[in-house]
Amino acid sequence: MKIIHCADIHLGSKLASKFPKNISAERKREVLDTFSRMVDYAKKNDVKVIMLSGDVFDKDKPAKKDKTFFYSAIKNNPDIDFLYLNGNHDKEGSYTDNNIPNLKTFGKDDFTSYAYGDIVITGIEMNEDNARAYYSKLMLDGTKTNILMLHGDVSDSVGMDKVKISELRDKGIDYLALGHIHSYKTGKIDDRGVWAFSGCLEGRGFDECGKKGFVLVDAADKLSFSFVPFAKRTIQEINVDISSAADLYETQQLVRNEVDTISRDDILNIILKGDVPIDAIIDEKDIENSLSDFYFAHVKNKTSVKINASDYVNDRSLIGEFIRSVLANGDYNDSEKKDIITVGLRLLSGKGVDR
Amino acid sequence: MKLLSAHIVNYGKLSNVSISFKDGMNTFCEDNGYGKSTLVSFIKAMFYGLAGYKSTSGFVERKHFYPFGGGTFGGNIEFEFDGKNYRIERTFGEKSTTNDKLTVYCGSNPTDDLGEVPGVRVFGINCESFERLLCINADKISISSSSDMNKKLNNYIQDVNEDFDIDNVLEEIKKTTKDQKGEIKTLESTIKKLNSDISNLEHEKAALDDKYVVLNNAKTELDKASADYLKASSAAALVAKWQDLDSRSAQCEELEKSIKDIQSSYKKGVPELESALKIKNAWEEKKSKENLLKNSDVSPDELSQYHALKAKYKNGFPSREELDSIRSMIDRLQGTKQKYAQLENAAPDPDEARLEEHFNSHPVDDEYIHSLEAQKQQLDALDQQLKGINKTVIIRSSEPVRPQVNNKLPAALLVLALVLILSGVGVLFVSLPVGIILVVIGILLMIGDMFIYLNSKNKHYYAREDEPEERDNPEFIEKSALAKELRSEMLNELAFYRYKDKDPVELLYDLKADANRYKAILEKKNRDRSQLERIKQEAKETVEKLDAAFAKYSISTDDHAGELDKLKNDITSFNMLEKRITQSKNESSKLAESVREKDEQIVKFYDENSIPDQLGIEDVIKDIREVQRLSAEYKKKTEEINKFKADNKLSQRPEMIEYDLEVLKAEENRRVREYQKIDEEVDKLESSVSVLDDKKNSLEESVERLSEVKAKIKLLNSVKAEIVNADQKLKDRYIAPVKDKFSDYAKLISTAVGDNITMDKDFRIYYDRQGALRSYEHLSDGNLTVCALCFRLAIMDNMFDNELPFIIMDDPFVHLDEKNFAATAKLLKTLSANKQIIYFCCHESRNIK
Repeated sequence: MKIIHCADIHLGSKLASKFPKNISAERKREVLDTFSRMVDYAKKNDVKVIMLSGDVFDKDKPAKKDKTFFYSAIKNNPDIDFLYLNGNHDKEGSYTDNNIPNLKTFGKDDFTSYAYGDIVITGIEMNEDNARAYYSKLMLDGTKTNILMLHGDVSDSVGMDKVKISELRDKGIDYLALGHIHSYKTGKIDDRGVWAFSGCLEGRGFDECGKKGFVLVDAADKLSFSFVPFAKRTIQEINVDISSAADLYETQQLVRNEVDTISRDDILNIILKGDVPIDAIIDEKDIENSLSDFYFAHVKNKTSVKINASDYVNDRSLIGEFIRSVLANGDYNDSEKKDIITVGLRLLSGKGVDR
Repeated sequence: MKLLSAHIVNYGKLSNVSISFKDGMNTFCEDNGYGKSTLVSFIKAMFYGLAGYKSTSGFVERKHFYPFGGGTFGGNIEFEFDGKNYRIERTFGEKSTTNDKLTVYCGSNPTDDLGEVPGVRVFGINCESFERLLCINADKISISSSSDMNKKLNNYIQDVNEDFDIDNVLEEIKKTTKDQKGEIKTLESTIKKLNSDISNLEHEKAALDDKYVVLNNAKTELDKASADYLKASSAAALVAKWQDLDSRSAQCEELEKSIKDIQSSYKKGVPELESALKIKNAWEEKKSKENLLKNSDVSPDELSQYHALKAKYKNGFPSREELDSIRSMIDRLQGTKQKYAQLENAAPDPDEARLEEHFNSHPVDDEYIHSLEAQKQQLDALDQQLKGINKTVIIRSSEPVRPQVNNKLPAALLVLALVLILSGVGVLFVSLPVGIILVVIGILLMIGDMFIYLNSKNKHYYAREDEPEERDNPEFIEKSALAKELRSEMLNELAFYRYKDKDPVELLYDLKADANRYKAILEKKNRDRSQLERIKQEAKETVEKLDAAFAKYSISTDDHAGELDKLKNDITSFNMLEKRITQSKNESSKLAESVREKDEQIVKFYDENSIPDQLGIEDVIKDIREVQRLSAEYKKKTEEINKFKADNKLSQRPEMIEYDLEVLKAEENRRVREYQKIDEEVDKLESSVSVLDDKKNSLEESVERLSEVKAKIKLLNSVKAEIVNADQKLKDRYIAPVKDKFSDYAKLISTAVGDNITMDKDFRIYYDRQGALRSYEHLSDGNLTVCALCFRLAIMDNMFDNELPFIIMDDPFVHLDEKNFAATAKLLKTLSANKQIIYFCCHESRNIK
């Protein structure tokens, strides 16, 4: 039997502020579309169960249109069971439609189990009351293939939104379907079982870079699973050292070289790094414009000006005096000193204030 | 660097003045009005030019020093710089720089080495700094450096961009900071507004969260109402199904009862339909035979008719030949009658009637016609004779013939000639040639006319001799008169019979023809009359024969044809009746036997099935069929009931609860409306709150930007502080030597400022007076003059290394007392050992020799 494990869809979530409004609006739609596509994937690939390990919605009381969309997807696919575990974002009242036969939910007081032949999927919704105690309540039949659904980060301690893996050892768990962390991640529970975060379906900001998708669990004979990258777009953070660039053209070329193999549908977060000459002109907008063939590109200049203090020891000019003065000033940290020198040198070289 | 000479072509009051300069001290001690200030201005103008009227305000040197006597405004100056001799030649326009001319020679060759402003290239400072530093007079004694001098000082130290100006840098920082502060204001306002909007939206969102609860409750209520209605309607449906089942069962029972009712009439059970149908056939056949039997007897009327006919024709019926003979006679009689009627009723010919009428009123006999024919013969004889006689006879005569002359043409020509002559005479008075021509033509025409006339007269005037004369023949005339008279006589005769207007011979022919036709008409009438009589006789004979033929059968009639038909009908009827009576006797016995057999079959069937006699076979069959139909229907209904029960799972009748479905439906509808209303409110709120994320993003961006801008201002402030600090340090580093030099020079002249002096970044001097620093501006004019001189000398020492420029002093020491002047003069003399000094004074007391 094939099972999809996904989590942290965050329907109705706010997108990163760096995105322009139109991109933000489109990405919101794409989050919905990707969920819809995942359900279609399940239908086409004979997936019987979709496990939603928390944070399907971004908030406890999601917008009606998001709820309507979600429940409509479930209602229109009666052959697939949707096992929906609430997370920390949608911990209260996010499912109100109880009349959907193929929507299965979990309680907070005790574990709830759903059996599919020899496969048993068990879960509990975590709250402040049960966060420390639920481990002891977990009783699984070791002869079955046991899948456990929880929402929380793997941790060495117990508590809200935490899953202490060591407490789950030797419980007969074959697969622990976790939600909370937005990137695919996996590890071992014990000799028998593994834990996995499916990650979110779509990255929503520059803090959610990398491949996003879901985990396809095959529990036919011996349980196996694999990550299925499924996001419409991947947010890629690319660090580009432009120390060797002599001018804007060379800077753009260095950036181009780094992003050349990346899909044009992806979202780029380019971080310019390295030491550049005082007179280097680095215009983030120019570089962003040069990447207009990508869906969206954001460029952040985190370069420093090349300064060698020893060069100015015997410099009798105002510049030498200025650099020596700044470097000797104990009120500034190193970063501030670099910034002051960078801007000061531009001004003293008659290049204006803006970097 | 040193001045060599100057030649003033025209400059202020100076005109065509040449001055040579030497190394060291060059003193010009002249009275007031000599033109010392003019010379100083000239030297400056040679190096820096003159500003136009428009580019400066206040004292305008171009205007002030414009040559009093006119002429070329300018001159030249020669100097030594960088080991080479240069000559600057300049002329100036009156008001603007447009017509200014500058030529620089290096040696004897023009050069661009010194640029457009040679002073900047030579001294490294602008005109203002030149005036401040190198031109000292009693008025310009401020002690400070200009930015240009500072720049020169800095640049001299480090060869950086000569355009660099720290004031510009600081100004840009100030401007940028100001812009950034403006942006901060805007951002703070935006943030405030966004916070307010977000706060409002958060309130709306909180309200939305509450609304969700209300919506959920409404949904719960709606679901409950829907469930109640569904439950009630399901229960009602179940009741309806049970009622339906009951109804179906009742129908089955009815069917069963009906079947039993029918079966009760048949003690041995309802017979088979096939047997019953056979009996029905037998019964129908029996009925049919009975009918046939009944109908096989001859009716009394027929018998009566048979016998009547038999009596009527006791002597036998006529044979076919007899009948044919009668028919033949009837047909012949009919033809005769038709022929008679045809002759009797034939219409007379109109032409014949006319002739008949004509000749009846004017009878004509053959004698009369013969007499007319005799007259005709006479007339024919006369006409024959006339054909042989000529109408005229020819007689010959010898009498002369009077000639016939045509005088018309000559007369006309004569008239024309006269007209021409008269006209010519008339015209003579008007036109002589024309008149003569006309008269001549007239005369010529008259002569010609006379010729024609005479010629004609002579030609025709002759006698015709021996020509014959034709005259009427008297015999012909006589015979013609006789013929005419005879014709007239004949016409009169014929006119009596209305034959006229034609030749009498033709009229005679017409009369004869008509008389012949009239005779023929009379003959035909006589023939017709005879034929009618004969036909009449024939008809009479035929009628007598027919009467005799019918009389044989006691029939007397005028309608022989009708009686003949009746007779034929009687014969046919008699034959048919006779045949029928014979057949009837044979069939009756057969039918009676068949009826008996069928009766036995029916009785047997009734007995075997114990069917009451009162039930006819039709009733039995009807019962059988009804039982079959009812049984089939019963079976079908039973199956339907079983299926209905199975389909609707109607195993046990439920407890009947009465629901008011209308009330429950109304409640459900009310809940639907309530839910929809809240749902719409949620939609509106969601729509309103949907911008919250955008607002938050905008706030994030604004806060981030504010933070960036503030950081930038902080950074710029730091940069500014560090640049100012560095500048100060730089100045401190190079002001110190200036200050030291200043002190050295000052000590040589006066003790006024003492040892404890300070100099700020702009080289402003502060001296110690009783522990407090005082500005040099508080010094006396004399001490101030000394300080100003010392400051300039100190600056020059620090600014210029190799190319020390000359220094111009325009009587600057007017405020010095004798002691200080002596010290100053001594210092200048000492300095002039390696400095070229151009010194102007107007009084011998301030002369430095």
